[in-house]
Amino acid sequence: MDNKLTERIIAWLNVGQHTEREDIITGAMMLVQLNRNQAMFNTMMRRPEKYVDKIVYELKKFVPIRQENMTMADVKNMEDAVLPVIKSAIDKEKRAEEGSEDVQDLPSHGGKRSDHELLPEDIQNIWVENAERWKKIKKAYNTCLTLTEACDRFEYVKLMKESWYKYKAEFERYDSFVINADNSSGADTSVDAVELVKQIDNARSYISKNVNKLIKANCAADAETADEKTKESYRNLLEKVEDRIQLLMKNNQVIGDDLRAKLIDGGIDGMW
Amino acid sequence: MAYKCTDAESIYQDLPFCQGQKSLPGVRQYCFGISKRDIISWPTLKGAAALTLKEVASYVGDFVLVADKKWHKVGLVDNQNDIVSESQGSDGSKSFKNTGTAVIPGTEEEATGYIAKANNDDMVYLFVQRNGKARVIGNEAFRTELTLSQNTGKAVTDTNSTTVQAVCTDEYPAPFYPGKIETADGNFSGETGLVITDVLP
Repeated sequence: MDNKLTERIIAWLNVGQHTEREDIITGAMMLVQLNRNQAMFNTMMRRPEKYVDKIVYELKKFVPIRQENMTMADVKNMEDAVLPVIKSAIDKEKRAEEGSEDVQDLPSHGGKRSDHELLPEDIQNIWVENAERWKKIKKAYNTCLTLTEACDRFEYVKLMKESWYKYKAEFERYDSFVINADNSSGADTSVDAVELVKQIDNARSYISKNVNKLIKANCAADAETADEKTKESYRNLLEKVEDRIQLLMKNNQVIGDDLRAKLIDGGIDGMW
Repeated sequence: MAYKCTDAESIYQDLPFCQGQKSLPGVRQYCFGISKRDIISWPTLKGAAALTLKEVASYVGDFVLVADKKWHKVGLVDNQNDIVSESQGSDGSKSFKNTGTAVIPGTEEEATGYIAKANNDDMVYLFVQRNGKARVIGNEAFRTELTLSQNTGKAVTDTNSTTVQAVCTDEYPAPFYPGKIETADGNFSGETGLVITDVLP
C-alpha cells in the first residue's frame, strides 16, 4: 500500500484552486495511476483546464478507499466476499415470498422466538432494528447493481458488509438470550453479543490453562503438611475457575467429559 | 531541386579509453521486473534530439507505475546473467535485438509460479550493471518475448535453476535508465544502484 500516494492525493485535493497546467496534470497523473483509464487521461491531456472538476471528483472517490488502507484489488476481494452472500439472502427471501404470503421472517434467521413477548424491550427491538438494517442492505445492493466501477460501489459494499455483520451478530444475541431472574430486568442486556463471545472464549482459555494447576493445588492443600498459604492459594484459584464455569453454564456452553472429570479432581463439584 | 538533409545532424565524438580505466563485466545478482500493464507512463529517450553520445540511449524521467504496484526484485545466480545487444534487420530499417538472461536459483514453487504467470505476459526488465547503472530490456513499441525454462539438473554438481530470457527489439541497444526504481524495499537509483532517501521538507 503506497501511503505516500495517498498523502499526495489528499494534499492535492486540499489545495483550493487548480489553475496551473502542470498542477492539473499532476492530479490527472495520480488519477490514471489509480483507475488505469488511459483513454480518460489522454482526453484530459488535450485541455487539462477543462477537466479540473472531473479530476477532483474522481480522485475524491478513491480517498476513502485508500484511507481504509485498501487497494482496488482489496475492494474487489471484498466485493467477491460480500455480494454473493447478500445476493443469496435476497434470492432466498424472494423464494420465500413467492411460497407464502405471510412472511414474517428475515433472511438467515429462523423466525421470532415463541417467547418473543417475554423478552426485554431492547432484545425485542433487535427484530425491528434488523428489519431496518436488512432494508438498507437491499437498497445498497440494488444501487451496486447499477454501478459499473468498483470505486463507485465501495461505499455501498462497505455499508453492506458492516450492516450484514451487525445484523448477524444481533440475531445471534437475540437467539442466545436467556430469560432468567438476573436478566429479565434487562440488567445483562447491555453486554454485546460480540463481547459475550469474547468472555466465553476467555473463560474457556482460562479453565484449560489452569485446570492442571488446580488439581496440583488441590493435592497440595489436602496434604497433611499443607500450610495456610497453600490452602489460601488453592481457594483463590478455585474461586476464579468456578466463576468461569458459572459463566459458561449460564450461557448454555458445553463442558466436555474429560474437562469435567479434571475439574472434579480439582475439587469442583456440585455445579453440574 | 535536390533535397538537402538538414535534420540528421551528426553528433559523433571521441570515445577515449584511459589507461587503467576499469570496465567491469557482468550484471549484479539481481534484476527488477514489472508487467507492462502496470506502467502508466514511460521515461523518454532523446533520440534525434540528443546532443551528445551519452544522451542517445539514456532515458530521461521516471517510470510512473499504477498505484500500489512496484518493480519486483528477482535474485539471480551470480555470473550467469548478461545483457546482449545485437544489430538486426536490413539497411534503413535496422534495429537492435536486446536479450537479457536472468538465472534464478532453484525451481521451487515461487520460481515456478513466476514463470507460469510471466509466460504470456509482456514484461519489462531492468538489469543492473556491476557499476550500478540500470539497463532496460523492453519498450513501449515492441513486445518482450520471454523464453522461460527450468532445469533441476542431474548430477550433484549441476545447477538447479529457472532461466528467464527476455528478448526485445529496440531502436537502441538496451537503453540506460538513470531514473527512480520503485520497489517494496524503497526507491533505488537507476544511475548508481543506491537507495534514494527521501529528503524531508
